[in-house]
Amino acid sequence: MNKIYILLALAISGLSACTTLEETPESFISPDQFYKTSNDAVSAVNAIYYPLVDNKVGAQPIYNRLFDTGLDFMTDDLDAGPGSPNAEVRALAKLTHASTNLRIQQIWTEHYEGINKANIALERIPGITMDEKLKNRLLGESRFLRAFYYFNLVRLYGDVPLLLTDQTKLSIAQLQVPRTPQTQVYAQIIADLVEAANLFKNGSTGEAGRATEGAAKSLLSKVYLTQRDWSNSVKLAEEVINGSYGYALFDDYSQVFLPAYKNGKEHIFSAQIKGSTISTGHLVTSSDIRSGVPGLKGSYGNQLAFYTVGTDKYFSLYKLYNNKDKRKRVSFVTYYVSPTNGKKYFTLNATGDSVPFINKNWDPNYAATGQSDANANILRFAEVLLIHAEAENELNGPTAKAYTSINKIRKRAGIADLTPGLTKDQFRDSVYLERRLELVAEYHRYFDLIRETGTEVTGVGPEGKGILIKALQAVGKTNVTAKHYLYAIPQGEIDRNPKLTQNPGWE
Amino acid sequence: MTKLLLFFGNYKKFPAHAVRKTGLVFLFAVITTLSAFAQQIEIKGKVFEEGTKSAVIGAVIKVKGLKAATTSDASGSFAVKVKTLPATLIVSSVGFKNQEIDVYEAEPTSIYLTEDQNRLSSVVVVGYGTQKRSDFTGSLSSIPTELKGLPVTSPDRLIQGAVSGAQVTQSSGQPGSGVSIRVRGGTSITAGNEPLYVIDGFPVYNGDGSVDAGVTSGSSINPLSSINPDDIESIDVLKDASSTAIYGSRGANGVILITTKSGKKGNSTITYDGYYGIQRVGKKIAMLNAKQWGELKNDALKDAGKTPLYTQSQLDSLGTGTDWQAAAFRDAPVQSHTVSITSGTDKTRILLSGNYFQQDGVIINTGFDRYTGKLNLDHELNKKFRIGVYLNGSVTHADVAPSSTVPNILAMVPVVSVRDASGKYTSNSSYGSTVANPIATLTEAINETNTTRFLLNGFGEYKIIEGLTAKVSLGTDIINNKQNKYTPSTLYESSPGGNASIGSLSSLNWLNENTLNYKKIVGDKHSVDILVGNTQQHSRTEAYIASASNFVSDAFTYNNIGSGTVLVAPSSFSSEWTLQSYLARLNYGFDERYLLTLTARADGSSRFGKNNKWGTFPSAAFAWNASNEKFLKSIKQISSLKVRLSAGLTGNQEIDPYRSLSRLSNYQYSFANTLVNGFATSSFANDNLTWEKTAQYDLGLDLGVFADRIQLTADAYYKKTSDLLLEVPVPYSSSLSSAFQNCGVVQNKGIEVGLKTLNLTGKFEWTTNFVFSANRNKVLSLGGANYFFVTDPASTTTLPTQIIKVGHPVGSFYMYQTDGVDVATGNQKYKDLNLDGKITQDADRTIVGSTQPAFLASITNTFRYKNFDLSVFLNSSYGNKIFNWTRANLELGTGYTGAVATLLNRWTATNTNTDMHKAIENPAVTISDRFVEDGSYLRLKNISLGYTFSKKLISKIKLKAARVYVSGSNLFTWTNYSGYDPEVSTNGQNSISSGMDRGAYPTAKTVLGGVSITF
Repeated sequence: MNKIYILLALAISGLSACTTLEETPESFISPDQFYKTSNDAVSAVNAIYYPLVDNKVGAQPIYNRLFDTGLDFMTDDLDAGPGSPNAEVRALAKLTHASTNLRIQQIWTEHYEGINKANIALERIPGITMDEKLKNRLLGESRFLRAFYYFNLVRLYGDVPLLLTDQTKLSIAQLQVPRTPQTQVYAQIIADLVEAANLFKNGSTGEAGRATEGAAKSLLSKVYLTQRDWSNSVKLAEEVINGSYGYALFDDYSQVFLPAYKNGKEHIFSAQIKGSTISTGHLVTSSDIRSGVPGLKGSYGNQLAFYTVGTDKYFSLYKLYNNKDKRKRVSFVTYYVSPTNGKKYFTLNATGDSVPFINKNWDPNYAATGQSDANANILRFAEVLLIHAEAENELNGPTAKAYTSINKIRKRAGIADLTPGLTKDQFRDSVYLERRLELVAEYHRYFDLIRETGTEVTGVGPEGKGILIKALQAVGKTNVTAKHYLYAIPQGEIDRNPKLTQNPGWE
Repeated sequence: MTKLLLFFGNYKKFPAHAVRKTGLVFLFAVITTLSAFAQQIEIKGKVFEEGTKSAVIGAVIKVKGLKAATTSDASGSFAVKVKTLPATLIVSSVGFKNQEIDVYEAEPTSIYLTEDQNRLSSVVVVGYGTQKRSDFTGSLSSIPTELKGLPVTSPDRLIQGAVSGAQVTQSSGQPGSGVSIRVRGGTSITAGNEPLYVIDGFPVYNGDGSVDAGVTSGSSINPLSSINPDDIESIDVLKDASSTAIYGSRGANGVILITTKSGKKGNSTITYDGYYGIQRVGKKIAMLNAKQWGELKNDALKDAGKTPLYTQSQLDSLGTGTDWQAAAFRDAPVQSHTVSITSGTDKTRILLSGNYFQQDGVIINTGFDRYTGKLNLDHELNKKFRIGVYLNGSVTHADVAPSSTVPNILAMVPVVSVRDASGKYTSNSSYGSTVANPIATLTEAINETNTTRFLLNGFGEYKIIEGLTAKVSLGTDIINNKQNKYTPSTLYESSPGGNASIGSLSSLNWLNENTLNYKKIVGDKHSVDILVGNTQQHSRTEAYIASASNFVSDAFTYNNIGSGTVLVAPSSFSSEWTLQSYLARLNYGFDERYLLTLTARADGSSRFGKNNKWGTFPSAAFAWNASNEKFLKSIKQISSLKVRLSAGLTGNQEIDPYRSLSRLSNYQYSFANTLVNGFATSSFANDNLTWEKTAQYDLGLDLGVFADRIQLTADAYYKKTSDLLLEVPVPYSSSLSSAFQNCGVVQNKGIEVGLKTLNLTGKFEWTTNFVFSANRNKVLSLGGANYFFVTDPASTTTLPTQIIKVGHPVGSFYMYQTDGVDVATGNQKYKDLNLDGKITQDADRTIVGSTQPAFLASITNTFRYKNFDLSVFLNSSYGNKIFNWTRANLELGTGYTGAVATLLNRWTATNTNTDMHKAIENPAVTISDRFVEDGSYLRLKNISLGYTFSKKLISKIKLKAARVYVSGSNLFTWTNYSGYDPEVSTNGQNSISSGMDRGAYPTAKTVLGGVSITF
């Protein structure tokens, strides 16, 4: 009988030995296991790009619809269509939104997601033994992206917490950080971009689509432009235009947007989108398409803002285009051909007035599904030319250099050169109009309206004209007030971090 | 397993609970007095069970006035010695009524006993054993016999309304869909809140996701639907800390013990139980017909300054149009067939059963079916050694209505027809918002889930010395779930060439338990029952999903993913958890008057931080059987009285594995159409992460008066859960939204009453069973924060609907308050709470009720007359609120989609005095209390009428028993809720976002007829 007990005891202890309370995850890794090889370093940097087009919580990603609903809908260009049933979005489009608005919070959150991933890379990669040229490039990309995210944040929210270390290693109490003055944030952005450009110079070449020296300089030029540092802006823009980066305008405006030409000579930096494979795919296309076309899954989420100009009851941005302007036919679509029955479906509204739809995210190969491969342009050569024209005009007046840059854009669009002999103010207005026509639906309009407004926002410069308020009121968005020069600090973030203060007018 | 079994020696005795059986039981005592040797007279007898004529073992036979007692042996025989005749024998056996037998002479006497109607002397299953209910010190409710036979898909649904203190909420009416159960309120906020299920000794957490590979859209299928409710012997719900602390870290949300039927000693029986019925949708929602909708469309267009779509003559020709609900709903059959065979000898008892269950849904092409096989076997190798096995195997299949089905049925515009002129399905309705034709989806798409589950638990029990038993058990729960989805190219929602997805989830969960149990009666008055043991449980889950689109043909459906030309990134994961435990329990009874239970369990869980893996959960309970006191024995009216008091600490560990670790997640990106991997931190590490701790205090009373014709059980409890496993919001600037921390406090307090009365006895018998529970839930602390918002996870609009706020219950609705319709403009008005002249999100939203019911009550009346029995079961919930998303969407009045008939009373220039806003082209739902509805209801949950054939009649055709019945479920519901059904919670087991009705599958009424025949 004793034998039984012994065997029983053995059996039990044998079973005990098969379990352990220690967790050894197999489908993910912990930070301690990582950041050891050059592949790890590359992965750490790839992750910084991710928030541009995707996220893990099912929210709209920054350059994959969030900037449509959370930024462009607030402008005089776009409005929420019938397929935008979200009250938060419709409130934004009417500027009746509150500091609790979810889009306001998502834009904040997703930018900081990118920033922290950059901080992790910048903390971890220097300690990895690896090829120095690759290391330089990766550190350059990290600095570029951190600067890029902060540049969006500081323009939208004003003073923001300037975080330069990995937050996920800190205790919860340490996560509450007050806002840093804009000047300091801008100083960091410029320092990061200058350093990034240096690192890229001494770095290896990566795949198309990664940040590069040219991207760093282009962004820096734009930062200086926003800072009203005209001379540095001109200097950097000219380094990009005249440098050996190989940038040029595409011959045909449509190539700027077609997936077949992605990461081409005009593309300086784009959010890379591969439809159908990344879990979310391309979210913008179906919103761009009208509903009810057999075979096309259009949700009618985006629509152009309509407003009254004189007797024209349904005036929109669309009518600002000269009929010869090639950009009109590329940027907009007025009918769809059903892939199911081959019929044409015109984008008419009930009054018979044409309702054009944005066409910049269209992928001819996947048009029917909305799973477009089209990248989202962030920085392209055309914009650098426009930055150059604008900064040069501010610095030296409407010089030949300034005319040359803007006329390159107009030439490609198939329209006449800009009238010679404009005043500085007229030239400035022309550049802003050109930016609007050239860059429509590429998420520049709101930033441009603010920049053009000038004084009230930046506290410097002579041109404070209340442009933002005037422009939005003109399209019937009459709820716009001076508080809209800055986004609200998300109320949810203030709840989580009592050290934050609210922006004026949003309290 | 095989090896282990060989090591055991003898076996002790057959446990009493195994012979507990419903129905009438007769005791045949054959008592013989032998000729007197000197002054001793020996009385011999034998105890039989009536139906099977088999022996009852373990019955205790005492002689009144003497201390000595004896028990009946394996053949039911006993012998006692008395000094003189006449003598009085007291025969008792657990599950039977005590009987006093006066023996006057040495002649055999037959005594008929009825089944024990007194719950206090019946046996209850407790953690790691059984106990006489009179000895039980904790709070426990068992499902009464009359409610055990209800036609349900899974055994957990039997709990609804059957016991006090348990709230059962179904997520939808989808056949086979899951339920969410809260025992004495929800203790947790973000960790799991479901009770622990212990099925024949095997603990399982019944999470919605445990049989869900993540491909199928729509309601999750209940993991417990793998068990045939006909196989259930008993369901006991453990509620207080004393009874649940033996399950330590998993006890805080209550424990539900499910025991399946076992074989019986005696003649073999074959029983067939079957029913067949028809279901019909309980209610249709009144919608605008085509002409009415056309008028709405015109009004909305006119309001936006646009040209109306229809002229008056066109409107007049629209007629009623398509009734999309009629096109989608059907009368659907439900049937169940169970054959069970029981057999037993002195040494071996066996039960073998098989079940086929099939339920078509009331929505076309949906349904659920199940095959189960069950084998329960136990065998005595010798007098000391007993082995046994419980095996349940099942295969289930469900065709699930995708989550868009019901919303689309209602959103389809009535002017669109189901099929076009050529007979093909209309693709969609497109009058602003595009709605895919749900009839086409239901008919042509595949959306199914298939689960195979084996639950196997074997044990060996060895009696070391008298009273001391060692038991070793080894069990496993094997789940294999495969889900398939195919959207053919013909459907609107499909990509070109169709979309296919398959997913598989498999898990292997094994358990080893080793216990030692010592039972001893010391002297005359002290009874001791000690249990010690250790257990370990381990689970591993692996899953994957693969998807593709653009197939050359729809013929492959989901069976040839590789032939799609557009491949979607596949996904996979694995996870493991381990629980190691030591447990101990002492039951001490003094003179059957004072009872004390001390319990402790130490659990080590892999899921927690490396500094805090182990926790200890003690409890103590005291009970006073006052009716056994001399001074109460004289009060004849009081037949039983027990006061119970318990306190203890239990835990909750129901979080996903690895939550204490910092982890890197894959953040995939692409460069020029080539995917690249990116890795970055996606969670904070928390080395100190540990249990939620629930301290619970319970005061209970069990009272029986007038010979137990009135039986009352009442409990009051207070539960305080601290160190909540909470997703604590952190600044978004950290790149993460929350950190998993132990902080926050939630309290639940409440009362429970169970009242059973035997109103009439005799020829016409009438029993009433009344169950009442009221729980109050309140958040006492959230760590640093004062509140956080909850957004309905299924919502496309991202505004919060609920708030978790200190001082308020979990599930509080937080939104604008409506203030009528503006007489001048027809716009919906909202209350300006801070009177600043503006309606703002920050200042004008408030708490407008919660999903927590004020009370739950149910009443079951059972009548018997001659061979007829009638049972009427009414169930109710009072005071809970539901957010009716369905109505919120259908009441927009945009003219983009179908609309509810209440819009007929909308504001127009000529109808200004109304509470319905005008037709307006605004597709955004403003989340307001307009859509918060009273979810109270009173429902005739079941009514059934049965006829049991007399034995005389059926014995002629060689039957042992036969009963026929008709039964109706959900036939009447009294409610003000305007949706399909107030029993709804679209988000299933999610605690913080409960009470949502987002186009839930409607609940059916069922009428069925059944038979039960024993050969």
